[in-house]
Amino acid sequence: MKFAFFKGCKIPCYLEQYGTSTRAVLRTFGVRLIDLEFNCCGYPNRDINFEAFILSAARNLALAEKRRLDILTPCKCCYGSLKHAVHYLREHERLRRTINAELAGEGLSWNDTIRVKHLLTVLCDDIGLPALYASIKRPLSEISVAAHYGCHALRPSAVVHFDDPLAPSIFEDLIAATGARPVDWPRRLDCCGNPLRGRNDEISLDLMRTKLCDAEESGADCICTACTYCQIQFDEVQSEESAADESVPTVPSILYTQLLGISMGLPERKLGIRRNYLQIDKLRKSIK
Amino acid sequence: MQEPLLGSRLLFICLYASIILCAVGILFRAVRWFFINTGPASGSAGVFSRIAAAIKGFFAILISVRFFLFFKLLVLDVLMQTRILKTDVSRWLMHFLIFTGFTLLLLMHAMDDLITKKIFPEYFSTIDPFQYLRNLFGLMVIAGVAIAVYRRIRHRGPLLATRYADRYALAILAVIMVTGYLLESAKISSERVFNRMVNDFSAASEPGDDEALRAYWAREYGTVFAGMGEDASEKVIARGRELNEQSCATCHSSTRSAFVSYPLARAIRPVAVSMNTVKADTVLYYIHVLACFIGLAYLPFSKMFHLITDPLTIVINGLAGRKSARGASALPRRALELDACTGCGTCSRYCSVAPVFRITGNREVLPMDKLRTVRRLASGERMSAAELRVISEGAFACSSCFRCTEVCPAGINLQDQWSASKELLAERGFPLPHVWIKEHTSSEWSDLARCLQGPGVEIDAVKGRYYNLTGDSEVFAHCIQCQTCTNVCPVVASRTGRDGAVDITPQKIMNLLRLGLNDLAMGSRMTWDCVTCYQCQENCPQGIPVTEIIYELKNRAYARYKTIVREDDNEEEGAVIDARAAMRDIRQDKES
Repeated sequence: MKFAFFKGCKIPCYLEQYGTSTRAVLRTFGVRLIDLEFNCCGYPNRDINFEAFILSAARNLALAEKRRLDILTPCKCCYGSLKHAVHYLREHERLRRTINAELAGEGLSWNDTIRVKHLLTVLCDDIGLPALYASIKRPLSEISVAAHYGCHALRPSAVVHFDDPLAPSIFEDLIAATGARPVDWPRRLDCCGNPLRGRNDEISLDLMRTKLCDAEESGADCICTACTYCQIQFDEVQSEESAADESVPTVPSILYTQLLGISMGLPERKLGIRRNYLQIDKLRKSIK
Repeated sequence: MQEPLLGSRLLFICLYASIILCAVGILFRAVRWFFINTGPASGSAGVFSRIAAAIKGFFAILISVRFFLFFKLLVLDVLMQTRILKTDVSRWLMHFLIFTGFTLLLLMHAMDDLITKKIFPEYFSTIDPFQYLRNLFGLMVIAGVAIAVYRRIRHRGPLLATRYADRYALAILAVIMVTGYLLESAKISSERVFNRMVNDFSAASEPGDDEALRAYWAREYGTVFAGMGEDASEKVIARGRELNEQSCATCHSSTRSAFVSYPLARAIRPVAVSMNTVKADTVLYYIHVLACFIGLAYLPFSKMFHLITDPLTIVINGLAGRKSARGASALPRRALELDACTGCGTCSRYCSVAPVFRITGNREVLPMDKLRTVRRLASGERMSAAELRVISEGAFACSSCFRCTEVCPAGINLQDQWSASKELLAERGFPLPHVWIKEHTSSEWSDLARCLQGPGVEIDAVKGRYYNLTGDSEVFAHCIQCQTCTNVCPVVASRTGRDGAVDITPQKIMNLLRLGLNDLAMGSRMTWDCVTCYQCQENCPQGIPVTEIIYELKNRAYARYKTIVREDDNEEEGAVIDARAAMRDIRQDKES
């Protein structure tokens, strides 16, 4: 299996461990990740300019098409953004023509020949849960994990086609494979708050705190994410804010690839768990 | 060949003057690093605390004993310029040829009295390998300049803009190199120079020896003698060769090893005699040397200043790592970085948000142009509100992907520059649109737009759009006002019963659209505080794309309201519309 690896903007500098752990995990299943000269997925500028958003995403799609590779992204915002671009380019012929004319300058074009997949879909469907179960060396039965779905992969379901938007199960299934216990928590489908970071910090933090309280009440030892922005919010932002506000419980967050990596017995050097701002006490023994 | 090297008093004075100018210039620019304000809250750090922080940082590096890293940076990144090689082979070749060629010429040829003679006591500029190497190094520089000119023509455009500084740098190099070769070939062909050397060194005594040596030099070395025939016999030539071996060869190799100047001397044969008469070699010598002095004196103010700043930035940032500098030491470091940029455009070529530039045409999106603007901001230049708005738009389009910093050949921590300049822009009243839009309520924005802009603006904003969710009643007319969107909205839930509650709820936005009051929806808090979680859209029983509508409202609000100047920071000009004054007028009208 071979994919163009769409890391997105934040992983190289702010969340390197997500890139390295994704590579490490996928390599054990024989998945090859190819790096292309991708640009931003377009999501950060979508508020301001629709065409700029579509061109950004379309250029990435066209780059992958040129190499005839499907795209795999570990970030849910990148995933949603690329999926939206595909949707709009399919729907609007005039938009498609304009964007293709713009791309033609670099010898690129979008012809809808490749697919965009999120990391979790590849793990669950392409690699398959049986292979995942078979790879587990050290089941993490000691911890309860709250799966945080992330909005941009899940909704709008008519565009992103990720899982059932109202009752998804993919993330819990994947967590169960590691031996950890997925907890049922009411706010699992809610927003982490990161999209408003720097735009309205008050609401952004409020959304995060609501989820943290809920995860704590539901008996979770940690939150598990599979999105760059969600992880930044629950890890870096939470660690900055928890010092300021003691009334809110601290619930550390771990990336799914790190959780799976630990249970597969992969070395810490590749998983980068110590790079996370918040550590999970119960997992400390399990990290190599 | 004894030349009155700097024998002229004029040239001597010029040399010292240019060295002094260069030193003073460098000092001036280095001192400036501690004075200019390159980030937010610059005012809190005084000049002395900046100097102290820089010295502290310097000693921290000394103590840290990362000598291995230091030498790695020095050899690979500074001398071999591997940072350029990583992104562009042809540019690396160009830079390497110019840098290596020029440096070696400087050390071996320009400073021969100080360096080459000390190492090789038998040094003469006219013997091999020096004569050959001089031609080789010169050719390296010329080849490098040629590649640079070719690249600038071939890739011209916003990503490789050629400005005065680039033209000057290439021109001064070309002038020095071309006059150097012309000077050498003029000397090769000059009868006068030959005669001077004969007077100084020749021990010829027998009659006919002079003619023999002349004939030999004319045929073999390319000297052109006025009125000399081509018909010297083999015997005369043989004698000439013998004399040459005796008197000349010890300090004058065959001019043919000057493999550029010799063919050039051959090429100028037809004019060699007249060039000799007008002392062209002396003229060329003056041009060559004076061009070098100009290059030296102007160095601190030209692009060549990067010879000093780039190694400094590469080493300092290489040792400091990716972490952005904080506190007082960040300010001089950023100022140094601003001087280190050569405008090579590598950052812009790798910019993750370059597509935004392609759509909006706003050059302030591109890192290279942005850094020039940061330099202007730092130098305290006054800018109009309209200009700052464009700058702010470019600055906040950045997705902080770190690629520009990764590829910058000068090792500038561009990411740090951007976060500092964004904070600075926010301080000056030009933050993200999500922040400045909330300075007014939606009805105020609506009034402002009506008051300051014509009715056609909204139509213009729609023109050329690929979809029109907010203007097409088919999209939202079937809203039944069931409030599902409002009930599932996390932003509404978060704000309920608190200060700063949302002004209108998603379902009210739908209603405003149905009433054709799009203006009131565009500038609303709900629109700009939307967290884009798509709960409303997913849960709408009527299948209305609520979130997409909110996205479009933001796009349109931005396009429409960005031209309304919110703050007039250029008061003395007075021509800029002050939104606040307009707002006061509107309020007064309403009251009366």
